Amino acid sequence: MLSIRNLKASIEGNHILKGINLEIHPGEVHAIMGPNGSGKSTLAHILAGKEGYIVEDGEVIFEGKNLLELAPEERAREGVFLAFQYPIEIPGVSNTTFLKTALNEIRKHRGLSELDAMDFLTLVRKRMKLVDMDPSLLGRPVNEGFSGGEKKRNEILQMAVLEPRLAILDETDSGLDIDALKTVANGVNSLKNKDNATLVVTHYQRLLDYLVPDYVHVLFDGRIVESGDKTLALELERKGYDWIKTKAGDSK
Amino acid sequence: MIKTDPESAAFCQHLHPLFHDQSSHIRNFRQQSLEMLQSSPFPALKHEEWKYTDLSELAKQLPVSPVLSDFQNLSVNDVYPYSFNQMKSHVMVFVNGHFTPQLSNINKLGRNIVAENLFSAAKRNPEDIKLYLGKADKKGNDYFSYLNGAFFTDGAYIRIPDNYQSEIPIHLLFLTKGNGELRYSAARNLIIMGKNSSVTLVETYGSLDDRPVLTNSVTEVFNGENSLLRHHILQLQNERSHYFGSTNITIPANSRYQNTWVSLGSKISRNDVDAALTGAGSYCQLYGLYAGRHDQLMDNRTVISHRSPHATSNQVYKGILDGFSRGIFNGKILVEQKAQKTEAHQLNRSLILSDKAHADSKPQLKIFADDVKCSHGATVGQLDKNAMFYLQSRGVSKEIARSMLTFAFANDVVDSIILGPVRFYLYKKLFNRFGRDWGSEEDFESLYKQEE
Repeated sequence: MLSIRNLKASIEGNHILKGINLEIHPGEVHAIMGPNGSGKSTLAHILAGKEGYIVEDGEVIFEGKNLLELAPEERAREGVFLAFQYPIEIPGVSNTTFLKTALNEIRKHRGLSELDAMDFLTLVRKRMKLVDMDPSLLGRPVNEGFSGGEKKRNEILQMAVLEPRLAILDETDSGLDIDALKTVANGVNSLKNKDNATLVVTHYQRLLDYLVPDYVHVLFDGRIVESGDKTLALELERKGYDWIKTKAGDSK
Repeated sequence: MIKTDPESAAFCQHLHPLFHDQSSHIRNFRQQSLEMLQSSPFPALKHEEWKYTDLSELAKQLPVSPVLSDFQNLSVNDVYPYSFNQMKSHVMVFVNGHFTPQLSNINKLGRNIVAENLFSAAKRNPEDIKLYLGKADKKGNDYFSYLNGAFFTDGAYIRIPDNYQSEIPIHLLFLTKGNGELRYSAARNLIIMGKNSSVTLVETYGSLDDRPVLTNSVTEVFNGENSLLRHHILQLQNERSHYFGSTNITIPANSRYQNTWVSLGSKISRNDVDAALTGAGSYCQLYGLYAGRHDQLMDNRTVISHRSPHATSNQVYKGILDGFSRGIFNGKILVEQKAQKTEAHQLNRSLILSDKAHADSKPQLKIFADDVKCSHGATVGQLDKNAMFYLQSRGVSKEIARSMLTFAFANDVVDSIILGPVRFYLYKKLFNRFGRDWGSEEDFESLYKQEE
């Protein structure tokens, strides 16, 4: 589904990604862990198409298409979704309006008919239950005045409505208490199927207790320096990142 | 002997006070204004306060005072578009500056409130006119204030008694009706608030047709001690008309004045606001939105004077400029030496939507006190990149993302309007301007009705 080959990227002259290789197949959950500044969020942003990064080498193939050539909205319509670490507030545009517009753009691209207001509301109310979101937030402006937890739930609600093939969760656990964390993880779990995949970007292991990965990769200094199964996450939790740093240093 | 400015004298040669049955105070006031007018030069780019707004085309035209036939044969249906879906309110309607009782609805106001036209008030209560007329308007050098003073054709007189609190707003609706000539529409309004009272006042400027009119209004506001006045002013005239309006406010101890200015109409508009904080604990809030398109020019000049210690002011003005339009913010905050412990914040943000649109920003702080907390800032730019990315990453096209964020940029000023029907009216206007690409108007209405 997703092949990242030797991806090298920089921002404002700083080399952040120094040759990433990663294969993700349908039905898989991958976790990318790493200390602050290792390039985790950069990778997530580049996959979703954020401006400002310069890709210096390598390629990203998503479902046979060269992802890096597509505009952010085209990637979204092809089925890439990024849950933001810091969701943006949009005063004056209601959640419903925003989400309905987004969904219909994606449906049009997939050759489906657009949903009218009634059908849309039926769908979105059903999906809200997955993330245990207060229905009154639907009529409110996007993320405006939402608590940290509400913003993260809203990200997962968007994911539930837009049904991406590949969901990238960027530090979705940051700022969540344990109950909210469980709710969000359960929401993501219930959306999993054999055709879609999830890439979880996180600093801490705790989200992975509830959202169990098939593969764990450790990103350090712009490279994946270690890959393994879920036990690797537990090892990192126990030993911290220092041993990775030492190991990466040794292999240089 | 007064030195007369020839251009100035030529401009007003077809203007005259409409009715002759006037009190001596009004006659005296007109005479003083006329003398000041004749010695004032017609505004030109070389004048500091007019350096961004070229009136040379207007100067070639000769405005003409309204005639009685302007106001006849009008029905409530003509006024309906400006009723905010028949919002519950006390309405005074003026057409070309002339009070039209048959379109107004002020019968159900409380017993002690006075809401009448200025000429009636001058007969009934000459002492008030003497005390207040021209007294909040102290700028002293504004051509259009003098022009109004000399040739206004009536206006609203609102007197709110002490301890009066009302949820029902008072709506002053100023409409223009054109003919072949450049009609002159000038109202002069006095708003006098008692102590411990709370009122919402809406002032709307609209057009009954698409003919050009020169609107030139002056509103003087005397807030009462410990009172709250919410003052929403909407400039919605057709895009061939001109608007020169000024609002002059005095804000005494512990009183709050909250002004929201929304400008969408007129070819050239000038919004002059002059607010003086004259007592401790007073608060002044000025929120503004000017959204220009085509070749509209929107000029905003505001002065907030802190004349007393322990007063607070907060100003946010936002411009959205599309097409060939031009927006100007010229905002001054003046803190006098005695005004210690002042807190004053001013922000001007402009959004430029086309290569040919233009924004000028001139925020100024003049501080003579040493123990104050003041800030000001101005930004001119494009839409926030992170927000654009957020919307696009959900599948929304760049064009729609841009229009959603433009709508959002405007809306936080609109949200400072306390009246739901007025907000909804403006949302719709803005949606039609910036939101056409996403969803139908029916969608939009049903979504916002949910929120009401």
